[in-house]
Amino acid sequence: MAGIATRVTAGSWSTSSVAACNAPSVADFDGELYLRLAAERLLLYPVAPGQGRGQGSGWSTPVIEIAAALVAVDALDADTAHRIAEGYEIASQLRGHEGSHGGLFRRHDLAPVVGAPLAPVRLAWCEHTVAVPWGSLTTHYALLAANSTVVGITATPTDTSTHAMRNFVTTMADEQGTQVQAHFSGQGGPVIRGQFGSQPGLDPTTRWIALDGVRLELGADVVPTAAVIEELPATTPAHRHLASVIGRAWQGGPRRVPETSIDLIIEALVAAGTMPVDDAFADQTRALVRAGQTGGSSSSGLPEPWASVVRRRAERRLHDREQAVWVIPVGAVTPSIDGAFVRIDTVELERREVSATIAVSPGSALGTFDPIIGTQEISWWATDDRGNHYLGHFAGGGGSAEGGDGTIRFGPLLDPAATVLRLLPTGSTERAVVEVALPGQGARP
Amino acid sequence: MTAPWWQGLAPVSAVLWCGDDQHTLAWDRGELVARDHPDLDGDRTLAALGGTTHPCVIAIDTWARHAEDLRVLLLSSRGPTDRLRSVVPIGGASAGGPPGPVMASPRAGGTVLAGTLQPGPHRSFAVLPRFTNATGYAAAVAGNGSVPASVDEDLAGLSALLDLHGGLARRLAATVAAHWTERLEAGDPVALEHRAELHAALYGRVLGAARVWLDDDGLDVTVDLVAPGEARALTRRGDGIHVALPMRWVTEVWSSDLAIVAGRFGLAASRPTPDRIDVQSVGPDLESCTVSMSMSTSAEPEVPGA
Repeated sequence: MAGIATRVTAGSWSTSSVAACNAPSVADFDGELYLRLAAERLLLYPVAPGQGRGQGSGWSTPVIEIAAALVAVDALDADTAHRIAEGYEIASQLRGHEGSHGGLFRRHDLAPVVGAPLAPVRLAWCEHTVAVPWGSLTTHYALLAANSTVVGITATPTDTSTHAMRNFVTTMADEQGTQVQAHFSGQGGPVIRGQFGSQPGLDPTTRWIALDGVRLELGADVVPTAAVIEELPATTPAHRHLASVIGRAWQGGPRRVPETSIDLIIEALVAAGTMPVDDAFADQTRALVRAGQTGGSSSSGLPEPWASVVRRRAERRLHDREQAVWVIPVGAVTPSIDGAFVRIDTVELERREVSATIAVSPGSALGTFDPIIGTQEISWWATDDRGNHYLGHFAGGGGSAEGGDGTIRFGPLLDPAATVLRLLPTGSTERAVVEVALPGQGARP
Repeated sequence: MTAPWWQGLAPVSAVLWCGDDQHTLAWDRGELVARDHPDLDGDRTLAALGGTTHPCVIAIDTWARHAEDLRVLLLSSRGPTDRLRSVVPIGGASAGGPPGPVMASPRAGGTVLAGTLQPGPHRSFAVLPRFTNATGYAAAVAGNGSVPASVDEDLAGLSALLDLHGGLARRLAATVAAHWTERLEAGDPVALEHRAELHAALYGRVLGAARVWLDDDGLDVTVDLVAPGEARALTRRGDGIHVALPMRWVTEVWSSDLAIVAGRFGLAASRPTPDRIDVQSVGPDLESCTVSMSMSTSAEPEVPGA
């Protein structure tokens, strides 16, 4: 082969980009070099963020996704991955690349926060409907923790904006004489659903709560629903990471994965020697990411449980007639799920749409604004006794590195014939199972 | 005796506003100086005591601070097709900046990046349209102290330096590359620890040049970072090319804009005499060739046969 000279065997410290990319085994693979060379290519020839739902903005970029993949299969340590990704994000921003994060890069400044078991909280029935000057207010439950109080409500006010709702109830008080300011969080509409909460809260032992002077007796404490842990079927780190990528693509939010990054992720996993080049799961990943981002309802060729979710997606647009809200206190506290802890406070049904109010530790388990590299969020799966599968996404809430809380909204719509819902907060190797009895069909909204 | 790495590199300069005057930052034979600035050391001392800071002082000191900084190779341009945009920090955002959105008024043609509502360290930059060289740097470092108050301010100052016109950024990259090349060739353990970064710095510059050379943005290019003394090579591999080069190529060839000479890819450059450059190169057909160039300081170009 023509050339200026015949190549000789590389010296002791020479590095080969070919070796980095075509490693015969994980041990031979240089993850740092692979990431740096890929980042160089992407810097000079950036991949457009892409079009359509779920593309573009968010914390994901191709470099970050390659880095996350290499960390997930232990081909690179998280600190080095973060450092490299941050440098190239800044370089990318200096070039005005669309979708770069530059100085807004969510770097991993702190050591990973370890999850801590969530203490059970007192969950008491509090079913009351009272007439108030601005409409009617129905309370469902009270959640009393050491430093916070939450009262779940639905309301039909004359002014249906949530901004107006913030002015309707301003104080909560208990029998010990404590009075706190209450803040509303939830969603507006003809029927407003949400919570009045305060932090610090009321005395957890109180027997009644007064909302702006209206006294509401608390009913019996809810017996916490049991939570058990199941191990997931064994799989490879590469497949686990791809499952996480699929989950992020479906759940949306700042950590969603653009379809344009999928091939780069798969190439990195193959180059690292962690999956074969002809792995069937690679094509399934592409199809599932596309399905998650396009919102279509064709399940052809998709594996379960994803196919179950996709098949019934369109039902939302066809059967949207039910009106009332049903709140089911749960109070389940899970053991560790791959280092994360979950508390499921309530399950709510509105027009067959299922949501759950939850708390987690650490905060990264929510998968919201945490760095993508080196973190693993909980996937919110559920099944019913009719063989249907449901997938939830974070629909609002907040927290810190130590923990968070919020609402998980599930799709597709609940099967009207289902009588049991099994909530399955899922980690990388195990999941919790929390079984919730649903109201009978006659009683359900 | 080995020639210094900067031998043969043309002097370059950039003009910037420094107070009410225009001064020239000039690079020549490995050194950056602020021509026309009357008392650089005096102004630096005054700035340290709380006096006015001058862009010339900031530029000289930023250069010195980053002359061995590998981030220069990561952030700086890989070549003519890799352009940076002007960047200015918003109000000196610091590593411990306040939470909440950080806003700035967008300027015509520019883009403003708002901060995040999330707590924790963050940086904010406003991307501005490219100013003329004279005004851009001064605007970019306005508010910076002579000693950067934060990591962000230092990064902003470095970014502004890399965006200067006139070829200064390329000389800074050459300075850093030369420093690390020498350490790598000496077997410095620290340099060996950074060989992945050095390999990436080499790769990016080879990639950019090779794709321009063969006019193919999709050309597959693989690059081996070889030890000094090993043969340099460029060969076909599948639909792409494979290149084996030492780190010295960056200083010796790339920094001197010799990567593409007369339609050939430069693999090595030598200066047998101070006014002559020999470039060992390969053509698109992979035939090797030495391109020799002689430099003349005469004012008029010589016309062959005249």
